[in-house]
Amino acid sequence: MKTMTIQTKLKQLQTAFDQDLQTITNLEQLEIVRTKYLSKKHGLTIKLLKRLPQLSLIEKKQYGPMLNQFKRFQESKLNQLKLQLQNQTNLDFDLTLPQAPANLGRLHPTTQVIEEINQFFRYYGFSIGEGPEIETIDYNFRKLNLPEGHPATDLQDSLFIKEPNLLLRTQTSSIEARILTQYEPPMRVVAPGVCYRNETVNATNAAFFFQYQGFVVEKGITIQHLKGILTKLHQFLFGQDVKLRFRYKYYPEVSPGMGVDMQCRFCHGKGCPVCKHRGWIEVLGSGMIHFNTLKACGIDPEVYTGFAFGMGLDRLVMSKFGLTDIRKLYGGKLAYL
Amino acid sequence: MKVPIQWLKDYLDIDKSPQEIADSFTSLGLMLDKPIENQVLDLEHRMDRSDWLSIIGCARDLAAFEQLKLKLPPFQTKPCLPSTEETLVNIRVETKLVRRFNTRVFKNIQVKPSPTWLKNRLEAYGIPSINNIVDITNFVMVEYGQPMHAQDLNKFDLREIVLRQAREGETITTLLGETVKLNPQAFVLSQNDKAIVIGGIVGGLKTGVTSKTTEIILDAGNYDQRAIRRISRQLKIQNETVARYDKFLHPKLTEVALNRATYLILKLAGGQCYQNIDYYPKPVPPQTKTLRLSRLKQISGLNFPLNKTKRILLDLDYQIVSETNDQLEVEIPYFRTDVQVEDDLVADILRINGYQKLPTSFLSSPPPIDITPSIYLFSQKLTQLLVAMGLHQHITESLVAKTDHQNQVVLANALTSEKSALRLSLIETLAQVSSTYQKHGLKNLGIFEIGFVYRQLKPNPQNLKDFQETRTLALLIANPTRSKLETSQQLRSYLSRIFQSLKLDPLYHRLSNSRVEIKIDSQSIGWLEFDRAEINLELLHQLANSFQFPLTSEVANLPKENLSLILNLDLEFGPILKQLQQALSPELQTLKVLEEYSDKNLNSQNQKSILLEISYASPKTMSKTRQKIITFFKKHQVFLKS
Repeated sequence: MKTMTIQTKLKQLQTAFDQDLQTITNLEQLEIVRTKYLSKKHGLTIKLLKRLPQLSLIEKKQYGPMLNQFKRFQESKLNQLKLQLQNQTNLDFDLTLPQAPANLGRLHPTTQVIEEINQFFRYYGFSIGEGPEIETIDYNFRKLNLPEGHPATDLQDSLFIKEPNLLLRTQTSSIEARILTQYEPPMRVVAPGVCYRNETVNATNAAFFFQYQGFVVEKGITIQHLKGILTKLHQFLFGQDVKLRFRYKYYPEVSPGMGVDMQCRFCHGKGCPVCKHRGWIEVLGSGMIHFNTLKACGIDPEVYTGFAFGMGLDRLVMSKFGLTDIRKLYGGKLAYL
Repeated sequence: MKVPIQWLKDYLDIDKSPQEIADSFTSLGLMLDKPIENQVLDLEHRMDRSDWLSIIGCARDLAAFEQLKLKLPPFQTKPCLPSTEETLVNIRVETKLVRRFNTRVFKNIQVKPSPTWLKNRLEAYGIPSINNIVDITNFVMVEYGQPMHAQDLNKFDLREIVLRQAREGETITTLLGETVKLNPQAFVLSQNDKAIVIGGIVGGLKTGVTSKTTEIILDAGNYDQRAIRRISRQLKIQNETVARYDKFLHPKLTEVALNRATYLILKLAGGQCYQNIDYYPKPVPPQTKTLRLSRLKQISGLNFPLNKTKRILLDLDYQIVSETNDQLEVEIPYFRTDVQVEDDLVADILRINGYQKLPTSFLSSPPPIDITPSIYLFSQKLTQLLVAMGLHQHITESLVAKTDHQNQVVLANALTSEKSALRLSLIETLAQVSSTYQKHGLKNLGIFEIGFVYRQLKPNPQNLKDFQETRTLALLIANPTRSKLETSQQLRSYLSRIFQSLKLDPLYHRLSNSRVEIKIDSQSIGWLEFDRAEINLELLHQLANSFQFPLTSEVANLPKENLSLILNLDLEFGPILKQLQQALSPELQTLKVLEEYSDKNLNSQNQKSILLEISYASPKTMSKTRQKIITFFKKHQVFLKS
């Protein structure tokens, strides 16, 4: 009889609990229901559990787990419901109102572009090189096959600290000259850096600007390697379908020199205002490191050959981020929204 | 360089469209610079090839590229009549800037308008037609690249031209009617001691050729191009003559141009030509170079057959002096003043063969040793840390206005006074961002820059060693709108994170009421104010350990309690806490400032209050340790709030 009673009682409790659950609409009612079944002294489920010790071993094995499971079921149901009800509590603010986006740590656009290009070259085993911004004529010009009186070394174009020997570097090639002098080949190096020119400042020309230099000196390097790495670089930066044009171009510190243009991505070579109706946009200057440059830096040009390239970064940065005035890029005028 | 297609076609039979011709020019080194208008190509000229400032120079390379024959124009082959006492114009050169001054005299010429073919060519190029004589000098200048002057001998007082340095303040009225004041850097052609031409730059009005002219002296000079460049910039005169004379022209070109001009003058203006003085004290001998096929391969990675190599060089007017199976000795054409080294011949072969045709290869050898400076990587990681904390990185220009600071690096030739020196502090330029943020309604944001500051170490620096460039970190709370305390807490929390990540324990030492020095191991590495800080990264990098970001999966169950303290406002509490920690470690585990405030009641007594969280090593020693702490604080005039 007792066993029937327990089983019947359990069924009754299950039905009653289900019904009670339906009636709960707030936390107070929930606590009443909790007390009704689970109060340590008077809870109906607890009372039933308390009867277990009086049962026979077989009955204990049969009903013990059933009752305990029912108790856990009730607890979890009530806890679930409590969470739901808590979340429904009235808030004293309006969740529909949109908020300003959370602040985000940000890199300067030029740093982003430098890191992107560095990433490419690091993959190909390039080191990153640095050199001083206050530089000697020797590293800025002479070692780069730019003798005194060469038009590219015009005093007017450089910012001098002390004429005629100390100036602010006008090109990142000076870093190349330093590293070629300091280290033994083989070497693969890229050098992003600030350069200075005595420019009348306008939206596209600044006295303070960034260049990105790269060079390789090893046995067996040919102009084909230069073409190869520059092709890969532009595919990395602009996609596989980028179209490049390689042409002869004179730069004093290289021979043979090579100019590289990218087909304008706006007009696909037809000519538009972006490419100044050329259909192509000049992206960088490059070439095989000049015999005289290697020699001036203490490297035997008959044994080692190398290539070098240099590009202005600011135009690339500006086009990537939709900026039109270089003065704003480094003039403290950028705000990251 | 402007190249009218019609003019170009005088020298080679090419049936390509202007665009196709432009593409070929672009490939071989003369890039099309502007859209093609009226069948005129505007090609970008680089400084090296002075012969590319002539139509024939351009045509020669195009002919080689297209494998077409170059047709040179007719010129005077017969020598001119010997000079006589009556025709001779004496030439005296008193300046070192003249390498050659080659002259001829023409009598009984008839000055009149030029024929249509000549007018058309000049006008297509962009030079207005004046008369046959002036037009011929201009035509030959554009055709061969050699500027020339014709002067009316009837306007000469003496039959003599003296080339001498100009005198200070000497003036001349140019062909364009402008009066130019000269200085001794320039040189002039003078007549009876009066300047009639600014050497290598522009002719004078006084002796110019007019319709009444019947007798002229024609000169073609060769001058020091560096001097011409300097003088023309000084005088701010830029014209077709200067554009050519400031490049390295070969003295031999004067003969070629004079022979061509003589042919045209006799044909178009009649009269007779007389030899005159050719001042050429140091004739330049022809230069030779050896091209090894092995070098051609070393640079290009290709095996060029000897025949093809020879064909290209011959098309470019190199003369083969001798040859073997594996090398060629060539005489460099006189107009190729740009050729310095064997690799320049390699460049000629490759560009005439076409760069687009070169195959591509990839670096296949193992990467060399990484030589990236560790401070570069350190700065990169520090940047990542700051960005992860939500800070904005900026880059600001390092040129600033000059001050009278003795260590400031001042430029010798700045264009503007706002940018006449290099910054001494990074905050100085980064602070500009704050007002930008204010304009955009951004507030209380941490910003930073990692850049250089510059100092001269001596009052009169002589070489690079007298200068110092220091990599620096600047931190700033942009547009702070909260209390100074809150702003400074934000800033100080950034600093604490940096130092914690580097396992460094800095000492903040008060320098003044508003400024604190940051010291590590008694070395000063920077400073901070309530909203800004600057740290010497070279020092930080030397002192720092590698970046570490502590994490744990265990909860430390140390006994903790909060102590509320009262102390004088001007007490330097930071160093005291540090001392305490050192003295009582390890029984005292951590110290954390939870709150720092000075309410009005306290403030009237010039005091502030600090809430400190203390965690002890064990419950057993807790009360003992607490007693030690309180005793220590008392000694430093810090008291428990009752």
